[in-house]
Amino acid sequence: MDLKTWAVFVASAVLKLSLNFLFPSLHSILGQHVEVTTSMTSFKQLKEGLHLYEIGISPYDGGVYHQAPIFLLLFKFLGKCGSTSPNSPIINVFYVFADIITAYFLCAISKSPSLAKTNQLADWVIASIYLFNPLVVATNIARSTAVLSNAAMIGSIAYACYNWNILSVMFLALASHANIYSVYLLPPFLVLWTSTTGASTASVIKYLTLYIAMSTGLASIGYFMTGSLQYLTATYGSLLFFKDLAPNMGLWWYFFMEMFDFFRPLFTYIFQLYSLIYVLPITFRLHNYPLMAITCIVGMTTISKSYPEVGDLGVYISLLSLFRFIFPNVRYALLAALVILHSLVLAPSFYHLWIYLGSGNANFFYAITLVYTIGMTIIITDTLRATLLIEFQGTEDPSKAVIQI
Amino acid sequence: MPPSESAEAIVLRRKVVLSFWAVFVFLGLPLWFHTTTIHRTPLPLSAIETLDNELKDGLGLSRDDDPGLHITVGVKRNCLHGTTTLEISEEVQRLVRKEGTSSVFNLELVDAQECSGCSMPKYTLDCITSDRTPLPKTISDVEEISVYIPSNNGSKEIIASGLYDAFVGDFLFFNKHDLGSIDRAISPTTGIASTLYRGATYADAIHLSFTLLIALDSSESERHIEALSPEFQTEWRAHAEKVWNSLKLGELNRFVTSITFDTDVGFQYMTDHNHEWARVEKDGSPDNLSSLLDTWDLQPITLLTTGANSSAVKVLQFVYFLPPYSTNTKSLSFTVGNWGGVVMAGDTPDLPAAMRTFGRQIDKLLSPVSFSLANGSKSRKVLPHGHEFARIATIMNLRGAVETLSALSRLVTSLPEMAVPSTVRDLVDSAITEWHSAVANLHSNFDQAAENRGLYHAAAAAQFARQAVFDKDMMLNMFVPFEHKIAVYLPLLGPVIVPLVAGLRRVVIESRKKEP
Repeated sequence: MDLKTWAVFVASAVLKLSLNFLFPSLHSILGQHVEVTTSMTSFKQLKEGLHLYEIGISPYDGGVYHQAPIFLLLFKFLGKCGSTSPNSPIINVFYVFADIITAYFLCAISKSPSLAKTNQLADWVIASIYLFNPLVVATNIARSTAVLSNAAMIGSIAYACYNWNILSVMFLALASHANIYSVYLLPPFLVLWTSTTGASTASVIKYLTLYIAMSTGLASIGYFMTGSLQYLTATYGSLLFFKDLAPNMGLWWYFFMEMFDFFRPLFTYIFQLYSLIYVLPITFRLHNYPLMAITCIVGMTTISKSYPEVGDLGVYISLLSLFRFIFPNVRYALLAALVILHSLVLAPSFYHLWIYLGSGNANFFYAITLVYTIGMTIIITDTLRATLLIEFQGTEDPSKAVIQI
Repeated sequence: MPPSESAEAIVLRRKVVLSFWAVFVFLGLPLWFHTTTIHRTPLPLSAIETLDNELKDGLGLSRDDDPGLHITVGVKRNCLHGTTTLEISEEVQRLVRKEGTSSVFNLELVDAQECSGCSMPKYTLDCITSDRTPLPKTISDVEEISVYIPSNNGSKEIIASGLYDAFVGDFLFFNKHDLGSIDRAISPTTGIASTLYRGATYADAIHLSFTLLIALDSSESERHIEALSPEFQTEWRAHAEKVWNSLKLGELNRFVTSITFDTDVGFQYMTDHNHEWARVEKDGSPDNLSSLLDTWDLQPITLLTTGANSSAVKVLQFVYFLPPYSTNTKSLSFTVGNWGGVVMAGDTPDLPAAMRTFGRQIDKLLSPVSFSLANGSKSRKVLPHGHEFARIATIMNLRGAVETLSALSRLVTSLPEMAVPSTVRDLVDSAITEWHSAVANLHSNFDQAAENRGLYHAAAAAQFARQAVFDKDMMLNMFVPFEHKIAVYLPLLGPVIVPLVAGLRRVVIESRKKEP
């Protein structure tokens, strides 16, 4: 890691600490924005759950806390070291450290053997794309717990790239425990884990068993902490069955506000299936590029999950920055960027119009989330097309004309 | 032409297409089927039909000595010229249906001369042909009902109308042996039921309050001077106590926890000569009594409002009223249902006569009776209202429960696309269980505590039945017609199925090309 990269780390730490110091209420303002945090990642609800846990009441009883039990352990420990107030020094340092660790993992991925042959951006650029991304900064200052699950996911990718597969499995299990949608990354990770030894049935079963065992271990921690498996319905159940109907940057909430109860189970399953159905085909198609497969699935999950945040887009863009070699083949970058930019600017305004001023309605905000999704779709399809084109160019005679479909 | 694909690329594409289809077929289709199938939990329809038949058979109760269930009216021969008891019953039933009301008693019309083997009818129906004005609807004597017919051959419609008017508001439904499977009835509004209910309904404690109310104004009269004297008031108290002792109300303690009484002397100073009581004196109508009572600042009545085991204290007020000045007044008395009685003194206060009147009023309001028990003995004197109320209310609730469950049974049978959640089955099972508990308590040989429990179970059965019919999950799913489902499925699945089918088609074509 060169000096420039460390300088970027330090600068981002200074930036975030300064923002927290100069604007102490910024975390509260951002924490209230549905674009930045959701009920599944909110720090405020985490504090409520922590308080209930500390006084001996199950945090999953009241329907307020929907996050993994491991966060309770973590923040209880942090509370003993200091305060769990969002602006307390220990929490400030912890979140800054989490982001820096994530950036470090991204830099490590870019220098991994699988990407070493490609023309990569400099480490400090990759780190800057992540650390100074406004979406990531906003998510960090809002103290969303998505910062931690994203760190675990990217850590898992980093370890897998260096064949530290056991650690990779562990981090993926941790990421899945915090965010169930990380389970979708299992197929491309299996390809990644078996890339050096070969994708034999035995190795696949080995990593699968390891993953299941670690996930079960983490789930049992939750069981022993809360005394029952009730937390599974409160955490994963709420996420999968969309129990907390609240507006966010996703596509779900508007449908479920309007539909008849008769169709609610059908739509829940269809929407979840829609995010699941792409996992295996993408893994098969991009089996030679498991990192790109992981990135594509992260992007697909970002637009199809039940409680998306803008921080997910920040992570996706940061992962895309690792694939510099596809940039020349991307055709709609400007269009996608403008669409995303417009949607991110208008979303808070329309939400404010709808909720606080009362002069708008849900259609305003949902239209912007649709625009946001269109922008994301453009990015995903464009990068996928660019990847397939590079794959095609790599397998065919470069002198032949490439047929544009 | 596009460049030819390598074999590896074809295999890869096949894997991609089939993986899409695998998720669609093995996950998507079963979930679609599971989430859109109308779940109909089987209901115990035969058990519901059994309840209905049991009710029509009288719940296994002995009708002859069950005041809560059966009333026999002996129809005199002069009513049966050119008609029969069956035809009269059918006509009354037609009037019942027209009114659309419901009740609980079992009315049986029998020929008064040919009632062999049956117990003495409680009521008799007599048809009079004179041009006397028929008795008013409010019947004081409940034992004989007279119907006026214009000629010697009274049509069944006239007799039925008279019978209906006499009993309307009473608890009647018609014996299936007379009319087949008819099970409509009449709700209590007037008639015998109102008489019963204007009396003292059941209460755990009854308090009798005797009040001597003296109205004063600027004029003086001897009777006022006498009434104001301590001796007169002492005499008043003594007479009230005699009434109390004469009632032997200790026998009624089986059904009420206590009966108490008090005496009071009150004064009402009136300055205006246009008194309400003057109108009362002229018209003699009890309708004006309410305004008269309003002018007296008397203790409000604690009325029984719920259930036979209410702990409310029933207060009955008996007021001996001395008008303010001497006029040619005659002694008047009024019995006010659920309130008590009033005796207005004439020119000369006659306390013994007033107390006798009070005694009759109390007897009318409380009317303790004894019943024949299965072993041939007579029960202790009981307040029939308390006893009958519990049984009547129990049977009304049971009837309501069975009607509701039968309606649910018909609804579920006739609408195959209506969902029946498991909660509805649980509610129906609970209603049937409570129904059986209520019926078991009705067979308690007039044990009031058991009958109170039966009332509770019957009310619970009716409540569960209503909840089962109006279950929101059952009703809401009714409003999603099939064409709406198509409108939802098509845009949801159509865009997805097109590329899947196209991909599968290409895979199939390729595999067919390979086969030869």
